[in-house]
Order: sequence, then structure tokens, then C-alpha cells
Amino acid sequence: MDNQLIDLVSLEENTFGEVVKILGGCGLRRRLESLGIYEGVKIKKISKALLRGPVIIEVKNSKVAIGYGMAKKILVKKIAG
Amino acid sequence: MLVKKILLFGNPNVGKSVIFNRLTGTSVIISNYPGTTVEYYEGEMKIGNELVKIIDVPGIYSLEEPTNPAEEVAQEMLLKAISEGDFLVINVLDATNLERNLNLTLQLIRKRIPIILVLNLWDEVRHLGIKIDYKKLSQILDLPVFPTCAITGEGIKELKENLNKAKVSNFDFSENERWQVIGKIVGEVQRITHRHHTFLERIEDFTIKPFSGFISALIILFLSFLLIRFIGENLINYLFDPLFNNLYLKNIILLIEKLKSPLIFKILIGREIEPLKSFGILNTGLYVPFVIVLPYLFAFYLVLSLLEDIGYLARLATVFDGILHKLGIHGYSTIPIILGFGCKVPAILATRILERKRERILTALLILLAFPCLPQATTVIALLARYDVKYTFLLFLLLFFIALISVFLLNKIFKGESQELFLEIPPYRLPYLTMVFKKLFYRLKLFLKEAVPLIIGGIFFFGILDILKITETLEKTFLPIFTFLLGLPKEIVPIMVTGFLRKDVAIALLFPFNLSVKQAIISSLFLILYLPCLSTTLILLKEFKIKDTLKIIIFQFLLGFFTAFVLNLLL
Repeated sequence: MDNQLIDLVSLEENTFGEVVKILGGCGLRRRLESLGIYEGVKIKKISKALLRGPVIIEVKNSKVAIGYGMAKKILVKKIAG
Repeated sequence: MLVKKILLFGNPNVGKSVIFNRLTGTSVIISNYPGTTVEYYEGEMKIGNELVKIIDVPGIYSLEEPTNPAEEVAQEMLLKAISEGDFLVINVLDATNLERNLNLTLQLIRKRIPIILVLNLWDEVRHLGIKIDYKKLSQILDLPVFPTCAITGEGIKELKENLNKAKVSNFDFSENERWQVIGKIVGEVQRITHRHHTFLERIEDFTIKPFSGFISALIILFLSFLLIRFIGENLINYLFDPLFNNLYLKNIILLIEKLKSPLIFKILIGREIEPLKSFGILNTGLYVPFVIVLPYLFAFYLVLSLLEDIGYLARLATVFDGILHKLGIHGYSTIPIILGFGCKVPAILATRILERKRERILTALLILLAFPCLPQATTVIALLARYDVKYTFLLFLLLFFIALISVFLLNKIFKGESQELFLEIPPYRLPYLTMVFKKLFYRLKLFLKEAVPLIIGGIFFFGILDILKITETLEKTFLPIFTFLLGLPKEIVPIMVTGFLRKDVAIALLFPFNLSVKQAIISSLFLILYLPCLSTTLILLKEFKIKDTLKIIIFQFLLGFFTAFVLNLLL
């Protein structure tokens, strides 16, 4: 498995990833962190965006919808489930 | 006395409000936190002979620097309690989602305040094959922990009896490693046995994936409307309208006629006895809010509360977020927009859930322009039924696209960033009906308190204008110009005034005129668009203040007029 970084929008459905970098200021980081999304956390992509709609991921056993623009700022690397 | 005040803290969707209801009696009030649009519940609990105040703090995920109004309010409530002292916090956690829920718990522990932990949804933990050693959790966190199932009431008695066990935890951890600490705790107290995907989880996925989610949303919305219409219409026709006319109106007229004063009659009843042809405070003033708006509001809030408690609303917001972003608004606007299909009054009130003024105004415009309210739509369909069905479709499509284009352009002209959707999608759960009805009851109470006095006052004001013949003068001077420019018969003028009161009735009054197809389309389009009805205008004033309300109304009027004018030239 390569260690290339991709954003959350590009991650394929039903694959696992680890958040490596969040491109954004403190406000964005804090918002994401409140639902358990931070650098180092493992996530699973549930569904992709339609019409630039939100991306849905599973993190810490719950599903979270993340707006398209926000998902673009979250960089992940693919990992094995 | 135990303490003066209890604050309920917890993430959204953890059953916090059910716990709240189990603890409090009937004296619950819902209010807006001063200066914000955030709603919260407050009640009292009897402990021995003392009454303790309980506040259901808005559900939040984090206590760090707030990123939304609900978090700000929660922060302030906690700070206030800390400064006043003599309080305790009940932190409600979703036991099926311990890891994420403990984040808030650790933040609360940091504040060095007395806390009790409640692991709610304890029954589901068993079903999901999760094992939690809550005694060990209590040991680690140095706090009392009580498992509950609020819906059945399991564990509530123990909680009530042990409120005095709340304590300030001595659990120490490094703030920078909060999530790592949580991971370690969860690893120690929780065991998950392997399990298969349940049927419910498959439905959960089906209703959220892009394509199937969109289709299922359309079906669910359509069925919801049928249900709302069925409940609303029947309540009006078989309960509210007969009760009003037979029990109330008849007697009040007899009473007023005994006074033998034409002036009092005019002020209280208006031109005519029939509520919808008059502006009297005792007939129209009560008929509009109680017979026209209330039954539909009841039906709408009932269905909305059901969808909310099942866990569907978050999915709906997600499914429509992409499309709404093109209009400068986002998924959260879905709920007010849906309410708008029924009645604009609760829809405008519901825009409160939006955080920014720009989003609220764009959403309000979309609500006002894109489609007529349910009673209006029904009348328009009936009016156009005389002609080919294609005209009905034409009219609705036209309205819809005009609204989309206007909001799209306004969004481009008045630059601004629209907020990104970011929300948890809760699992589907069976709604707890007691809670659904309680919520419905609180929402209706809020409507009665906030909107009804406005509507009655507005109608009274119009009644006075009517008596002073001001409306008549306006009718005679200005309105004929419009009817001339739009190619409509002059007799429609008085109808336009009625339209301000209740627009579907105005459209119904077009029936006796022998309108051509063209005239029928233009006049219904104009009557739908030209102004919001009186009740809606008053709610707009309340929510957006005079300046923005005027902008909205003038925009709507110009749009209605020019569309009708252009149609008159084109068709």
C-alpha cells in the first residue's frame, strides 16, 4: 500500500484511512476534533459526495457528514481495514 | 437541600431530553436563550420537599472554544452556574458510543465541578454485543456512574436516589493527550464481540448514499405531506371550524349585538361576520391563528418530531446539502423549507436553526417564492382544474424556477460564504412517543405565545385601517394600475386585499369570474407571489426586524409584478 496523501473526497467508498493532515486553522481543527476527527485517527469512508454534497465517514463508531469544502481540507492515507 | 440547580450535559442524540423528562414534572418551559436563537428546556424536580431547578443544556460535543451558538449557550450556562455555585452536572452519555461521548466528560472533569455520569441506551449496548464494565469506568474516572434506559425508565430511580453522590473528580490527565487517554479508558472498560450488519443498518446506509438517499428522501417527503394534509384538513373541517362557528362565533355575535353599538360591532367584528371577509379582532383575529394555522402546525410538528426522533432529519439535511449549496444555503435549511410547503409561518420561525443572517434571509426567500403554501396550492389546483392539467404544471414549475433563479442570483450578487455542513448522523431508533407528543406540545405552546398575539394584533390594526377607509382609498388609487398592466379584470382588486389576509381564499374568490386560461394563470401567479400573507409578514417582522422585512417584501412584490407583467406580454 502506498503512503500517498489524498483528500477525503477522493478516498474510495468502503475503504479505511488515517487522517494525516488537516489543512485549516484552529477553528476548523476544533470543530473536527469535537466529533473525534484529528490527525492520527482512523476512519472509514461510507459514502461519496454527490453534486459536491457532503462526504460521509465512520469515525469512532458513529457516522459523520462532512461538507464538501471541509472534506477537501482533510488529507488521509489509505490503510488496511 | 441537595443543590439549587442541576445542569444536564451531553452530546446530541443521546436521549438527554428523555432523561430530562423523567426527572422533571409538568412544569417544563421551553425558551430561547437571551440574545440567541438557541432553544432550551427548563424544569423543576422535587427532591424531598425541595424544588430543584433542572436545565436541559443544548446538546454539544465539546466545551472548548465554542464554534456554534449551541456551544456558546452551553458554555455560558456552565460559567453562570459555576459563578453562582451550589449546582451539579448530570453528564448523559450514549453507552453505545462511549469513546466519542467521553470527550465531553473529560472536558467537564477539567472544570472541577460536581458530576454524575449516566450511561444511557444501556439496553442497546446489550443488543449490539458491547460489554461495558461501568464499575471500572467509575473507578478510573473517580465519578459515580449509573446505567439507564430512559425510554423504559430503567435506572432512573437509582439515579434520582443517588444525586447526592455527585462529586468533583480527581482524575488527572494531560490535556494534549485527551483522545489517547480516552482510547486507553475505553480499551480497559469495553469489550466488543463481533457482530453482523443488522437490517436496520442496511436501511441506514440505503437512505444516506447519494442516489438511493435522494430517491428515498423524495418518497418519504411525499408520504409525509400526504399524512400532514390528511391530519390538517380533517382537523379543520371536522373539529376546529365547526367548533369555532357553532360554539364560539354564534354566541359572541349574539352577545355583541346586545350592546346595540354599530361602532363596537365594527371594531370587534368588522365589515362582515364571516371571518375571512372581515378584519374583526373577535372573528378574523381568532379564526386565522386558531382555525387556519394551528391545525396544520399541529400536523406538521407531529410529523417533524417523528422524523426527528427516528433520526431521519440529519439524513435529509445531508442528502439535500449539495443542491442547496448552489443557492448559498446548506443542508440545515432543508427543515424550514419543508415546513414552508405547509405554512410559511412556522417555516420562517424554523429558520432560527440557521446560524447566519445571510442564510436565514436566502432561505426565507426560497420559502416564500418557490411554492405556495398547502392551502394555496390546493386552491390553485382546483382553479386550474377547469383547464388542461398542463397549465397547473406550468404554473408550479414556473414558480419553482423563478425562485431558484432569484435566490441563485441573489447569492451571487451579495457575496458571502455559506457554512459547511458538519453533523453526526445518528442511528435509526424507534421514537419514544411520550417524548414526541411532549415536544409537539411545547412547540405549539411556543407558537401560541410568540406568533398568535402578533397575528391578532396585526388583524386588529388592519380592522382600524378598514374602518378609517384607508384600505379602500389605497384599493381605489393604486391597485387598478396593476390590474390594467397585468390584463386582469378590475373586479379582482378587492380580492388582492383579501389576499393579504389569507391567500388561498383570495384565489378561491377568482372562481366566479370567467377568466381565460391566461388570466387564470397570471392572476394566481400574481396572488401567490405579490405579498406574503399578513401572518407571515408579522412573523418576518418579528424575526428579521423592519429593514430586512421591507427588503424581502419589496423584492417579492417586484418579482411577482414583473413575472406577471412579462407573462401577460408573452402568453
